[in-house]
Amino acid sequence: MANNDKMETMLYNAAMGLGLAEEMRTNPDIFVLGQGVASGGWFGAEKGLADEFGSDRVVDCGICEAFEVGMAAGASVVGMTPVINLGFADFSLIAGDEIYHKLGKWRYMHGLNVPMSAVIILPVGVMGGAGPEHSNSIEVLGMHFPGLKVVVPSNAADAKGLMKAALREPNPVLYHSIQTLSFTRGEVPLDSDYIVEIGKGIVRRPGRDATLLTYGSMVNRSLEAATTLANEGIEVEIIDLRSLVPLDWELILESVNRTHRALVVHEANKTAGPGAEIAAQIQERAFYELETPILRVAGKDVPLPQQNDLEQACIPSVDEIVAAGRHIMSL
Amino acid sequence: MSIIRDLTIPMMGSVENARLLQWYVAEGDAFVAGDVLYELETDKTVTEITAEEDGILVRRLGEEGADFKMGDCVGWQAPAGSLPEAIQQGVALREGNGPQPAAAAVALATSVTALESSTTAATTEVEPGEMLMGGVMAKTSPRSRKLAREYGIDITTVTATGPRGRVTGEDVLRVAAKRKRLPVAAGPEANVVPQKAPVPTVEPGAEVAAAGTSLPSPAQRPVALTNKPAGTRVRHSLRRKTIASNMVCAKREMPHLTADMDIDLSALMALRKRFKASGQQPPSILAYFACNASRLLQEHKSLNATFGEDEMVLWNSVNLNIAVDTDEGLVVPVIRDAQLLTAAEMSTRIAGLAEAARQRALQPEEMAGGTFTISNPGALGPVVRAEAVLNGDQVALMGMPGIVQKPVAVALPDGSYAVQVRPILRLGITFDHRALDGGPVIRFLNALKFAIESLA
Amino acid sequence: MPIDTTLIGDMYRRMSIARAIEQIVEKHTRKARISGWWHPGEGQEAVGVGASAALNGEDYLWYQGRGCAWAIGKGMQPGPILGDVLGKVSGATGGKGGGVPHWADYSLGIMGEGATLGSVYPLAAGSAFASKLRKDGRVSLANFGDGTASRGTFHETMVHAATWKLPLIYLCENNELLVGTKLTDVCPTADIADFAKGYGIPGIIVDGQDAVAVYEATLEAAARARAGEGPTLIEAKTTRVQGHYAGDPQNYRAKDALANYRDPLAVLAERMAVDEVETIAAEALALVQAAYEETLAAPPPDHSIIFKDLYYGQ
Repeated sequence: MANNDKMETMLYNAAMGLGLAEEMRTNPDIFVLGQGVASGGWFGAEKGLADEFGSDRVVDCGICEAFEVGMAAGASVVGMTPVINLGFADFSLIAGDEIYHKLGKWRYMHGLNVPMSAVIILPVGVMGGAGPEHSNSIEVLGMHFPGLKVVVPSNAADAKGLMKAALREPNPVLYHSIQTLSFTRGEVPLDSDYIVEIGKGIVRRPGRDATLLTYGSMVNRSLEAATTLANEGIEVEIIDLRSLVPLDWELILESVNRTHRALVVHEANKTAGPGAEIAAQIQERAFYELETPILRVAGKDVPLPQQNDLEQACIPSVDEIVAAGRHIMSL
Repeated sequence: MSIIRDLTIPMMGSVENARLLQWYVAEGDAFVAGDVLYELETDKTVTEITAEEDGILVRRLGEEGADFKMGDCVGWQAPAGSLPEAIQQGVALREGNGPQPAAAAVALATSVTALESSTTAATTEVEPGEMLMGGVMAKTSPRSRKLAREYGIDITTVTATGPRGRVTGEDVLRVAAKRKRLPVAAGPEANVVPQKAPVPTVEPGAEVAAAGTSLPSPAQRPVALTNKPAGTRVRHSLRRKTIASNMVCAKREMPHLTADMDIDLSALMALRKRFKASGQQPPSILAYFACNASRLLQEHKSLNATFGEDEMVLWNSVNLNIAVDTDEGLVVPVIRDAQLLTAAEMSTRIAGLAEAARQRALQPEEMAGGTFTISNPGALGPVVRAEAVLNGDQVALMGMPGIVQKPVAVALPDGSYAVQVRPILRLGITFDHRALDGGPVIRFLNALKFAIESLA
Repeated sequence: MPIDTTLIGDMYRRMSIARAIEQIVEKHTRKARISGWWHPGEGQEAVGVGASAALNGEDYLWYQGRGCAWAIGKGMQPGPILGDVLGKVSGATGGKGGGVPHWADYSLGIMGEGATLGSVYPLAAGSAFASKLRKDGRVSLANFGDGTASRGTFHETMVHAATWKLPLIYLCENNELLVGTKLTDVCPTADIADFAKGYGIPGIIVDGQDAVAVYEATLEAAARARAGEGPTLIEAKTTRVQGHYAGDPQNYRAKDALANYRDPLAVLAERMAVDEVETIAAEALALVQAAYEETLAAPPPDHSIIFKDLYYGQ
């Protein structure tokens, strides 16, 4: 089955679709449900799926998120692996009961330890003028409510590898694809067993001076910022968390214990965002390794404006990350 | 009103006197509730004093090594988040050369306003890091404070190279590297054993004592001149360090455990009866235990040890502390080279020291340098269990409760059992679980039980 | 086709067990505290037992808040039910909870309940969708009360289930009360079955006090579902004898609210011999009493289960 080491350059969303298609070929219990998925998906992730797997397994439905996720919960309880694409994570709030109570709690509250596989695709972040109700980064909710796993692929290869891992996971997974990366290209392994393990982060750039923890849309900006900082003699280690539930504490603490400084960078709102939890846990677990306070660079606590300049002004820029890097070294 | 408040030594029950050993917070440093402020030695123990609330250490009034009464003021503190100007004004007021109260109040109000406005700013739009420390920039970091504690370095003496004059962890490590620490137990007879090689060396004198045969007369015996006897040092393995740190986290206090074992004193009682029958005063029961325990500690060195931050020292000779109850409380004089004494000698020495203790005639060197302690509350009344707090950095303590006549199952020659009433003493070894696991303690208890029950 | 007398006896037995559980729990809550709430279903037993009798063992049941008769009807024993209600390890959920209730047994097709009432519509569609894909011939039944027929997911789910002809049965227990509110105060029609018209599916009204009527209507709906003809909406008119929860003073209810109440056990007994009725009732009572005593003696759950089942294999 495996295509060994072959790589192909493809779109982030296409890589996500490739991971999905590969798993559908070997697992007949996977089906896909969403608005427009039968015709290839709004953003191209489901392109060609209906042709290959038929309209029984790749199913369009009305505009009704609660039904879609509730159905996924019911199907997963009886052993199916539903994949639901809600198009925008913002819409998941309409399916709050179905995601956080039903998917997250059904096994627990009924005391039956059965696998419940389901992948809910909840694209997050700005995509250029989508407005306050189509641009949110609400991945912190999956961290707050127990019973779910949460992944945030930051590039095309991870989009495939994390999708495949999510489909093989016996727990419901909130798969937060990144809107702004949907149509970016990257090298993707064609190996049909290419998996990015859930719960494992990765060092994208090693550094000795400070640990910068990030994920999703902010990985590339952080890498760019790190290059600038390196020219000034500041070597920042960039960790792409890849999963928010569970967090890779082994990796995080190993790095922080080495650099003694930590920053968290994300597009999500700063207040009670993922960075708040990560920073709190770092100080709980490694306070006496810290030379400085932990800094957060995050989205502003406002609804995201539709106008493009305003929208960009509300999320961390490369310059802001650079400034934070300089700042932490001056503390 | 000054914002400066007294930092006083907390009361600790019956303890009256205390010596301030070491400060852990530098002047100007912020601390949070639970941070260790300073280390205190009382006549009972050495203890770390932690902050009850968040604050800033404004001034150290107590010097390291100085003696205080409990409740004395050892420093000035300001509320957490106080601005430097407010602290300065507070200090001036306390020193009696500040501005007039009204002016001070205005000045303080101004600085409070400044603090509030900066807090408000923090919730809206600030550069990362600007909202930190309530305006007072700490001069150390959590890491540098921890390292200073670990290496026993006074952080205020460390040259700061960090941003804004901060002492960084690297700064502390630099000092530590320069200042190769002197061995705790220096002396020709201390054997430093590398990690994973906890093989104690036995000195000739000890061998003689352990064999229990012809002892040299007291005059011929080597006399320990140093406060600490010679011993074997075993560097902590990583595992031991982990166990130690876990144990501390688990209980927050030193993890004491006590293992008890019933010892049948029939043989001992019979022996003492024979002394009396021949018109001699027999050695005390305590002396028999002290004598046998000291001899056995030669073989069970891990109980005759002291536990430090980075290493544990297994001592070759036994400097035995005997807890003595006096009117002023407990004192623990030491009997040096106790492993060399016979039960009769032990009995005399204990009696002498106890009398000296009651007369307050003990010299400081007669109380220092112990390696193992015996507590004998049974002498005061029939307590059923003798668990006690460990003495200083010693890893084990032997507690002797009262002797109780108890029915026990005694093996008969035909293999059956019969219930007989025997004098039983429930001997307890309280030990520091960071340093010792149960195994060596039980082995020691077994050996001592065998020794006492086989006396003839 | 006349109904099998063995089946009637079996339904009577299950209804009697459910009734005995209702009464023993009601009695228990008057003298001792239970963790959580008990939502009594007394008076509505014919619906759960009659409908369950029409389902096959492997059919999926997604029940609602007064689910005791449904669980007994679908094959659960009194022990696990009482175990959860009284918070004992012997419960179906290991004692985590059960008064809401959350007991389930997947081997019996008892899939559980959503305590955000009326939330099982899409879940039932999920299992029905799985059956359609797998062609396993199973039927899914979503049980609900009249109060939650106004939920958005009632509509969302039925729109899709009717379009896709999912093997799904909507079974409404209309007791005309939403906690303490009269249905007609918040709903434009007194008959929930009227909603079926809009989806182009059959909307059937049956006497919810008559287990046989409920059984027959469900059997027909299940046959339609298995034949690929899609969902059916059944509305069983019934009566809630007790309050919304055990101990509810029911100040919102008229004194003579139960004047026309017909006990479903009595209704079914008319089809049976007197001595059979008495024997079955006595056996049921003894069974439940024994289970109750066993439950009282069972230990409470250990705190070690707090993280159990949160993630698979945990």
